[in-house]
Amino acid sequence: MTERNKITSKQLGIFILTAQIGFGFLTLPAALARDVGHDGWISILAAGLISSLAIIAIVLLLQKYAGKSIFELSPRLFGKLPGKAINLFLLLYLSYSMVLSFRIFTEFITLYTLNLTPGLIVAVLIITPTAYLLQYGLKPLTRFSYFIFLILFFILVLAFLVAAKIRWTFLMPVGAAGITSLGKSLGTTFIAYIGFELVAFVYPYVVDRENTLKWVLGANLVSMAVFILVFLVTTGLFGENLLKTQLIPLFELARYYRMPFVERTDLLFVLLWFPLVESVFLTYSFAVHDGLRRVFAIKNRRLFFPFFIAAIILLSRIPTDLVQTLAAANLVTIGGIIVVGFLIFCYLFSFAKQKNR
Amino acid sequence: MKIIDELMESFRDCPDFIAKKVVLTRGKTGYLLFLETLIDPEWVQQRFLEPLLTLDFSAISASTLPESNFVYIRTISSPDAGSLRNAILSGFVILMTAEEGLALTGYPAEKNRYGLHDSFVKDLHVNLGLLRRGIASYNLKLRVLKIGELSPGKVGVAYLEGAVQPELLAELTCRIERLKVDGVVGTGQLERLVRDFPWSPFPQFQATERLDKAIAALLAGKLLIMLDGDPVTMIAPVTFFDFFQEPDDLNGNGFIGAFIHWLRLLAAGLAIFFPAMYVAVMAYHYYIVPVHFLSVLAESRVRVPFPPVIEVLIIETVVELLRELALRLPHYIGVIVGVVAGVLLGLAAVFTGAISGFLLIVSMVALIASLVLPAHDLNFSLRVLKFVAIFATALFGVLGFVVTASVIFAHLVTMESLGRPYFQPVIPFQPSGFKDIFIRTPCSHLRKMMPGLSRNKKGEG
Repeated sequence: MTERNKITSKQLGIFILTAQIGFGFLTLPAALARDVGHDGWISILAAGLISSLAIIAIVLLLQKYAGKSIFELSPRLFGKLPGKAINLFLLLYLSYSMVLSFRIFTEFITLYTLNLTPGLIVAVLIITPTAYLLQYGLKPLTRFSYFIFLILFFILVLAFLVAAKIRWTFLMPVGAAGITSLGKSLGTTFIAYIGFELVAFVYPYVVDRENTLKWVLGANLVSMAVFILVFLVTTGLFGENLLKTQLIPLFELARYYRMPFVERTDLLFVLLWFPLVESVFLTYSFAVHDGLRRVFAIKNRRLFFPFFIAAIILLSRIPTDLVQTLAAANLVTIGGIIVVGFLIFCYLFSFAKQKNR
Repeated sequence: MKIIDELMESFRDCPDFIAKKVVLTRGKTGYLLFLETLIDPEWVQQRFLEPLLTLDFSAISASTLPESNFVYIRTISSPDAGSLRNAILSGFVILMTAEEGLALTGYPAEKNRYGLHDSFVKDLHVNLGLLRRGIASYNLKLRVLKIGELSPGKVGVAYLEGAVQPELLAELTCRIERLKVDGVVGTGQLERLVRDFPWSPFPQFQATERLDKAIAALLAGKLLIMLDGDPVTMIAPVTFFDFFQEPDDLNGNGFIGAFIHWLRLLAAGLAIFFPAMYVAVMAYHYYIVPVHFLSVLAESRVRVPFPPVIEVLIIETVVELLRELALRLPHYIGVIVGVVAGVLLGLAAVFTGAISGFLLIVSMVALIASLVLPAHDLNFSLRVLKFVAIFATALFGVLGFVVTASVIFAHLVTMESLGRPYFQPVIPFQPSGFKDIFIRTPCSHLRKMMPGLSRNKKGEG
C-alpha cells in the first residue's frame, strides 16, 4: 500500500467526528440532566462554540508551522529540554486516555453482552480489529471510521420513530437552571467534545492542509447537532428526573422503542456501537503509537508493535472495577482541558515569539 | 517511411501486428502489414503474396494496376496512416510499396480464423484475436511478458490505451517481471503471486472466461492478465462490489438491475452470518426472540441432543459435502443425487431429532444465498468466513459475531487491488460510483470509465 498514512482533510474530519461521538457522548445527557436539568442543550451549544474557537486556534497554530505535529512544535517554541518534557506529558495524556477508554470499552461490553466472561479475554477479543488496522497505518483506520455514518443514520431514524411521543413541556421553561449552574456544567459538556485535540497530533499526515479548518470545524458542528438532538429527544421523552437515573440514555431510548417482532432493540444498538467505540479507541491508539515512535525515534516497528498491544491490555487491567475506572477517567477530563488550553497557549505564544525576533 | 513509422507507433504493444519488409521483383521493396490474429499468415503467403511476387512492380502504379486481374485486391493511391490503420483493423492485408506510396490491400477472405467464440481459449494469440473482434481499435494492446525459469511461459497483459491509467499498467508489469518462479501453470496461481494481500481470503483479481466480461473490463480501464495455455483470464484491479455484477445486468431494466445488486449484497451477508446468528441467538441471547416465537423455536429443538454449535457444524459440514458432490459428478447426475440426498437427509435429520427443523431452514437459506452470487471465487471466501463466524460466535456469543464482522470490515477497507481501494465506492466514498452499483441511472448517465477506476483526488483513499 502506498503512502499508508496519508489522509485528506475530509477523512480527518470524519476521524475527529468519530472520536467525539463515540465515547464521551454516551453518558452526556444523563450527566447534564443531573447538572442543569432540561437546559442541558444550552450547555451543549455553548461548549460547542467554545470548542470551535479552540479548533480555530489549534488549526491556525498548525498552519503557521506547516507540516509539523505538536511533538515537533513544542521543542521549537519552548526550547529543547522543556519541549521534551511537554512532549512526554502529551504522550502521557494520550496513553492514559487510550488505556482508560479501552478499559471502559471492555467494561461496557462485559456489562451489556458477556457478564460472565473474564475481562482479560474480552480485552484480547476486542483489541483484535484495532491491532489489525494499526499495522496498516492511518489511512485504513480512517476508512474504518466511516462507520460513524451508519450510526448517525440509525440515530436519526430512532429520533424520527419516537418523535411523536416527545413532550415539549419537559423542555420548558428555558433557562430555568440559571447562568451559574450552566457555566459550571460547561466542564462536563466539554468532555464530550474532547477528541478534536487529536488534530494537533495527526496533522502532518493530512494532504490538503488548506481545507483542514473547514472539515474539522464541520465535524465539530455535526457533533454538536447530534448531541443536541439526542439530548432534546431523551429529555423530551423521559423527562429530566428519569434521565438522571440512567447510565446511557441513548440505549434506553433504543430500549424504549418497541420494534415489531424483535425484542431488545437496545442490543442491536450496542452491537452497532461496537465498531464505533472500536474506532474511537483506534484514533487514540494511533496517536499514541505514532507519538511514541516520533518522540522516541523507534525504528524497529515489528518488534515494537506486539509490545505496544500487550501493554495496552495489561495497563487497562490495573483499575479493579468500573467504579475505579470511572474515577480515573476524571483525570482524562482534566488532562484534556489542560492539553486544549496548552495548544491555545502555544498559538498565542507563537505570536509573542515572533515579536521578539 | 513515415507512414510505416506512424503505423508501428500506433500498433506498439500489439504482438499480433506484422510489419514485414519484403523484397519484390527487381530489388524493389515493400512492407507487408496485417494483424495475424485476424488473418491466417499462411493465407497471406499463398493466396496474396505469391501471386503478387510474380508481378512486375516496375510497371505498376496506382493507375495502371488492373484491379480486375485480382478478385481480392484493390489499390489505394496516396494512402494515409488513418485509413490504413482502419483497413488493418478490419482484417485487410496491406502491401505497401516504397516509392510511390502505393498500397495494395487484400480482402479479408478469412476474417476469423477460429470461428465464433463467446469465451476465451487456451492460446494467447487467439484470445487477442477474440478481443480484437470486440474492440476494433489499435488502442487495444497486449504486452507479452516472460515468466518462469524452468518452464518458461508467456503472460499477456491486455489493456486499452487511453482508458487505462499508465501507472496501473506499470505496476502490474513490474510485479510480473519481478517474479522469480520455476513456472506457472494457471492464471489463479499467477494471481496469488502478484496480489496485494497474500493472506486475504477475498479474491483480489476477478477470474473470467467470458469474453463480454473481459471486454467490459477493458472498456472500463482495467487490465486483463492472460496466461498462455489457460483460458481463464484475470481482471485487475477490482473492487469488492465488482463481484456482485454481471455484464448482463447492464442490458436489462435499470430498476431490476439495482434490485438484483441489493439482493446479492444481502445474500453475501446471509451466506456468512446467518448460521452464526442462529448460534448466537440459541446459545446466548434467546431473550432477543419474542416470547410467542421462542416457544416455536424451543419446540423445534426439544428432541435435539446437541448444543446449537455442534448442530450447526454438523449440518454445515453436510451442506459443504453436498456442494462438493454436485461439483464432482457429471451435471445431470449431480443435480439429481444432490436433490435426493439433500431432501432425504434433511427429512431424516429432522424426523429423528438430530437437527432442529429451524436450523435446516437457516442452513439452506445460507446455502442458497451463497450460490446466488455470480463470482465463484468470492463464493469460496464466504464459505470459509461462515465457519470463522460460527466458531467465534460459539465461543463469545454476539460479541464474537461483532468482532468477526468488524475484522472483516476492517480487512475490506484496508485491502487494495493493484493499489486501488477494494471497498470503493462506499469507502472511500464516491457518490458517482453509486450510479452503477446501488442505484441504476439510465444508460446515458453512465460514465465512460467505471467509477472504481476514476482517478482519486490527491491522497484520497
